[in-house]
Amino acid sequence: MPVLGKKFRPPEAFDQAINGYYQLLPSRFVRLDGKRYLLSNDVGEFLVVGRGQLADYIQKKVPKGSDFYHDLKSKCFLVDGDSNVALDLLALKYRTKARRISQFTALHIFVVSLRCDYTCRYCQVSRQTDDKHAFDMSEATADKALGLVFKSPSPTIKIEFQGGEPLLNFSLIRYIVANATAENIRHKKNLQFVITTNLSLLTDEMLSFCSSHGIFLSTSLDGPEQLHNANRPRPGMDGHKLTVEGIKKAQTALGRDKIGALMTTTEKSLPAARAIIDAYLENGLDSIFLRPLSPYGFAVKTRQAYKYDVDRWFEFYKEGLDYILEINRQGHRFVELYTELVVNKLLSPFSTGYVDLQSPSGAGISAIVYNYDGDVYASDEARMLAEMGDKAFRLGNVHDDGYEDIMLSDTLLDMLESTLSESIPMCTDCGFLPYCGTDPVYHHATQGDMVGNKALSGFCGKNMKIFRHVVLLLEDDPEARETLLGWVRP
Amino acid sequence: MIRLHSKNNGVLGGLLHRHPFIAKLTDNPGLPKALRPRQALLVSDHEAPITEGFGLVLVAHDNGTPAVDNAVRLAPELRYLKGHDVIKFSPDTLKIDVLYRKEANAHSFLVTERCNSFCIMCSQPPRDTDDRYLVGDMLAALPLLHPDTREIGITGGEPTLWGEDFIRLVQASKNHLPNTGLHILSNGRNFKDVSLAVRLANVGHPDLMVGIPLYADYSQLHDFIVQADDAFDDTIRGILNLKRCRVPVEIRIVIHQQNYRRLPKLAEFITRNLLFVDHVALMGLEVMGFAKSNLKSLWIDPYDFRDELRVAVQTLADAKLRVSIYNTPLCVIPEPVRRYAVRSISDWKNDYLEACGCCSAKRQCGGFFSSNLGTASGHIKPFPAGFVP
Amino acid sequence: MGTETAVTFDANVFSLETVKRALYRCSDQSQFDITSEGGAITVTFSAIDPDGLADKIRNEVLDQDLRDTLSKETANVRTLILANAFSDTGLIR
Ligand code: SF4
Ligand code: SF4
Repeated sequence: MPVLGKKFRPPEAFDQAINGYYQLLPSRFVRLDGKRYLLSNDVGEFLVVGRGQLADYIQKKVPKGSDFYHDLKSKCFLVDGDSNVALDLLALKYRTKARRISQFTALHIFVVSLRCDYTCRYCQVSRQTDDKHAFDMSEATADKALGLVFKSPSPTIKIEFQGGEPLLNFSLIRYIVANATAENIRHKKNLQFVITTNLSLLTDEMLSFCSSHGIFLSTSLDGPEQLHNANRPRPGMDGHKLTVEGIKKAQTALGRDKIGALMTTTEKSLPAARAIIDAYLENGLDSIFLRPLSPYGFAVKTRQAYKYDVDRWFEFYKEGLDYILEINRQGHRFVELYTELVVNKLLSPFSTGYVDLQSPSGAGISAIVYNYDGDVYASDEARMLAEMGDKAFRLGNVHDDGYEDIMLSDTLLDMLESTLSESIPMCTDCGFLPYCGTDPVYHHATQGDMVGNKALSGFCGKNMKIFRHVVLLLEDDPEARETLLGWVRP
Repeated sequence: MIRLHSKNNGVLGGLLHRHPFIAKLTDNPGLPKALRPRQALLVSDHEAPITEGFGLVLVAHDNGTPAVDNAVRLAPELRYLKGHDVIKFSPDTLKIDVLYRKEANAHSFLVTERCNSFCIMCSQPPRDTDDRYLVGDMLAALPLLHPDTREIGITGGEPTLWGEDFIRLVQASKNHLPNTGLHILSNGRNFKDVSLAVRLANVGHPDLMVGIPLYADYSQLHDFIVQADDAFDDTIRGILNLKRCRVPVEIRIVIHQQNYRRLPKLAEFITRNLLFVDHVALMGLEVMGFAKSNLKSLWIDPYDFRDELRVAVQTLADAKLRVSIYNTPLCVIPEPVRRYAVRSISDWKNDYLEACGCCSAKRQCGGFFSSNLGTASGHIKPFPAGFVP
Repeated sequence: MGTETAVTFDANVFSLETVKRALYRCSDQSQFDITSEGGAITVTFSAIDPDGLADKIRNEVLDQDLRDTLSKETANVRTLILANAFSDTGLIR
């Protein structure tokens, strides 16, 4: 009890809430483990609470003056007779969030060629052909697509070249980079380029072009030689060697921050988490994305199989993340990108733009794909699905449709509407909702409808597990917390 | 510690002033005659020539009596005054108030002692008096300030209580000192009325900052600290309104026994709700005014809140907010956040302990309020020679 | 799959909707029959680990009950906040 002069009133005198009465503000919760829950609100504030605290909160029995009461109040979970400014603050944050969504497409993927020098089994899209041009994007198609790119209101525009193997059509990459750069003089956007390539065809000339245009390279490295080559057969079985050499060359010519690698996770990867991470360390890479098993290409699996896959994949992820945290503890900064994304969703006051983790579905809003033939898709997965014969997510074609036709196409609007996670059963009152998203293409591919039953969904299962794991690491493991906090980027 | 006012002045010649006289000091006796009536001649030694026609002649030595009107022997404690400084001379009491020292590191104008809050640690306890003359003083002094002055401040009390006169002060600052920053200390509550924020923004001052205190992350505690119901809501709404009008805002957090525990939560609250503010200052307590009389309930050794301070600063800095630590000795600030420490104490009330004499970091360290020397941290530890913090 | 198991809830305490929503969350584990009769809501199912699933259902119903209270009590204020969010003048920066 403070000892103040007579002119001052004590703390209780300033509590205008009558009998500690308060009003609940919109929030959701989800169980973390046997004892604890995550309580969150629409704008992403959260508290980890016990079952008793949760029930007290909802039944309005939280003792006034307690730390828990003030925590709830400070994070906009309640208003009382003493203060209602939380309503203003929430409204403001809703608006900020909405504006982010309304900024639309920042990532534009150009599939410049479907041809590839690899013969990967899991790849649904590459084509081996003698007719060079049947599966290459034409300049005319590129022109039309670029026209659409610059219609996007987003202040940042990232153009990503994909394949097949995009370097097989490098002349078109040059063409697009030159035209986009020239066009951008007028638009003054923050314009970036990425080439997703296996690097085997990378020449010094290409490197110097990338260097002079600040182009970022993204390659595939699945792990140690044997695993990589088993995943990615190339005639001659020299894929790993070429990739590793390419990474080194690119690191030297462009700088280490200009080349990153992604892995594809297959059955064979699951027991090899540590070896895969070591391969990344050995090649001087600073991050890895422990990607989930792709459902595309395993189209005939049963529902149960997806859940089973999720469980096995999660063990792989956990082992990998443990190892990565150990590496960080030993004084070397190395980041797992999906975890980084989740930690940022949880802790950063800013939001991240990864397509899968957004509500409404980031598809078509954060990314748009221009296929070699001019067809437009709402995400890379939508395009893969189309190559497997299911064109459900085709939004139009650059030669036939304008920007409005595409962005207001029934396909896209249906996708957006059916995926507002605020209205999806289970998501609607899931505490992870503000950090989660929807993946209409995934649910269409696995369950035959864009929303899907989340209890059966591998997407939901995977996210729940990761969210729980990350939140509990933050809560229970001070060393891990320190590392993870270091991954929050403002 | 430098004295900023004194009545210890003596009349030497015929005093023609009936009303308070605000003037710029000059040491140039040859000033054109037309300019002399509005200036005060500063005479530093008895050999210096004294000329006719100055509004005031301040004799800063004890030898002889000049034969001019309006001559005053300057109090010894004010003899640091120099040309370009601005003073106010009150003929009835012979009091001289120093309104502006060109050499000072901070130039603040107290424009009222009245306030709509009553903070338990206020260093300038509010008084309900009619002090509108303070507005006039500032308006009179502004044209006399050196145009190179980097920044001036408006403080109180609560300056916005003057309403339209408050806006007038900002306008005059902009007109007379277009290249000088203006820092306003306000509790922000009156800006809950968006029209005041709009009027302030409409002045279009090119380099303005409103410093607004926020002491807690929830209403009951903030309201208790400022001893005013609804103050938390008013202040937050005020900040939002100012930012809606694009007026730069600084949040000022004085740390003491009543609020240090939730400092990290307050930092988080700011990153989540007020990320658009332009600066956050975490400040040690100045043992003056109410802070002195309520010291028992307020004092906490900065060493004992070092963890809270570190976490709070890191939270704010990680969110890319500009953050500073004011009024806290360098040696008690945890190493990871030491680089946010700023020498913030106005020079006239800034002192060091004896122990600081041998400290290699003294030049970077902000030291102490003169009034705090008696209640310094028990953990002051001079940095060894050669140490660069 | 093992034999039929039944879990009963007092209809005065839990609404049918609450029980249904809770069961949705368990729909990866089994299929459920729900009957409501004489003040009791009965859920029957068969599962490999019937006791484990019965516990899970009870917990989910308790949680869902809290969820339903929460969303009922906050529906109005959510509308208010949203209206506020999209009518107010912008915070510019
Ligand atoms: S998908 Fe699953 S984890 Fe994500 S919000 Fe919906 S229920 Fe929650
Ligand atoms: S010992 Fe050094 S760092 Fe500490 S207060 Fe004195 S001058 Fe500052």
